[in-house]
Amino acid sequence: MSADDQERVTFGSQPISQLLVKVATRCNIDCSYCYWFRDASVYDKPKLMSGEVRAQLLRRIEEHISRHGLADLPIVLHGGEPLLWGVENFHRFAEGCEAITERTGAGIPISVTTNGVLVDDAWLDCFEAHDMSVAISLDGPEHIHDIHRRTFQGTGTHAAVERAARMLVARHIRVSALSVCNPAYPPQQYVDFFASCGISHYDIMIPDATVDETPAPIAAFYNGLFDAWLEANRGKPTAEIRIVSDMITALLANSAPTEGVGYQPVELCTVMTDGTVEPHDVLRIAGNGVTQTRFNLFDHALDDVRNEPRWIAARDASINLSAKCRACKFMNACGGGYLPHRFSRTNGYDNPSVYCDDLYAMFENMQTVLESHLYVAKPGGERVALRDAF
Amino acid sequence: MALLTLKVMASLLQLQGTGAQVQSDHPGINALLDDMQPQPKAQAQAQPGEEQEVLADKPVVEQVYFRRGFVRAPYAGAFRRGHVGPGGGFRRGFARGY
Repeated sequence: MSADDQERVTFGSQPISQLLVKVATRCNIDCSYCYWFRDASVYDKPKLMSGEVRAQLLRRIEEHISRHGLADLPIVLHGGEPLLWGVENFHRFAEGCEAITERTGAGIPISVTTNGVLVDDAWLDCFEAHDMSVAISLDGPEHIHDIHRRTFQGTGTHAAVERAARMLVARHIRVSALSVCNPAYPPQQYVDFFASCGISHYDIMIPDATVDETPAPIAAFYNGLFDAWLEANRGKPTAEIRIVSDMITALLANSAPTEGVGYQPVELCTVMTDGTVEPHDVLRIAGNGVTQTRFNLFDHALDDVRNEPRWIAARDASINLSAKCRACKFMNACGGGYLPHRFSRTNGYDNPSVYCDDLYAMFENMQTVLESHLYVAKPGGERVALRDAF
Repeated sequence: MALLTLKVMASLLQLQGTGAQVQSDHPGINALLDDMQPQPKAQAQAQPGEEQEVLADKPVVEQVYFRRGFVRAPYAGAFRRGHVGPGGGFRRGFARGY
């Protein structure tokens, strides 16, 4: 183990510092790769968050902020499709958060992750009025997006989603796009599409898969995406592709801005429509009921979830890496990959990522390229290439 | 060659003398380097009275964000982000406005 590794053996604790709030458990479209409906227990939950749960959630948020002296508590409204909750509920929730901000001084930035199909002027007014940021699920151009993101009738949703994205951009609402990588297509097609929509901030996520599956290789796609990122930002920075900047940051700074890259405990929690609180919702990829707890907002404070066995198990799994990972030179940068991608029915999370070989190739390529672009600048103006500086 | 962590680069800069900096000839990488500068240690400590378990010899948890949303929204210009520096610490004062 390197000196860097030894410093990361244990981690201290912090209060819950962000919330994923499921305001709707159903969706209005039928994406073939959705992790959410892999777990049929979502159908046991109310379709929408009730006013009673919303009010209790706001009480717990204020209590949590006050108890821990938080300067802010970011909230992501999520689903299913969160816009099914209705624009009035969004207004009421945001107004509740704004009142908490007035009383406590803590910021509560709200973002929403939507498939975009329902976005109209009333929604744009709502996002604008409450300074909400919007992540729109958009898999690049139509011929890629419509492979997976279809209606229940089987028709593509791209036209509606692209229209929503352009409306958000035109209203200067802070919009990001969330894509899922389809390695069968060149990454440049995604980059060109988002540039044409005026979206400069996006992510192209690794497709979800467990160790029990055999997903298509992704290294070539992401190495190409890194090349495209380098090209797009060669002059004035024009494209921020989150997975690329996160990987660079993880490699250089041993830090993990977003889960899925870097070696850090994943301390996320999910508030469900009925007020129950669960560990990271994406762990549903492991099957029915795996994230269910008896913890709920009516009987427990938000931070109590940290004592919940399944929450603890998920956190521990995120930092207890497999033997192969612990011996890997990219352990700190990679962190074993995205937690759900480490799951298998036989070993639980005690596996390298199903994408281990790809991740290794991606980090190796990135390191080589970064080395060629870094230099030591001396006060006299002399530049020493990094390779020569050692 | 060792992995190019900031820690390695810091050692490298010591070898190169006072005032040396690691930079990139690529604007995008340079922008990220700017965002990665470690927080001063003092900033990484908990404030008095905070109910946090922060042990000096134990790395503290940094916020890692949900992948399926953008907790910190974009902004006008690329590359400014609410990044947590490798010094650790619970970030109570993210730069807002993006």
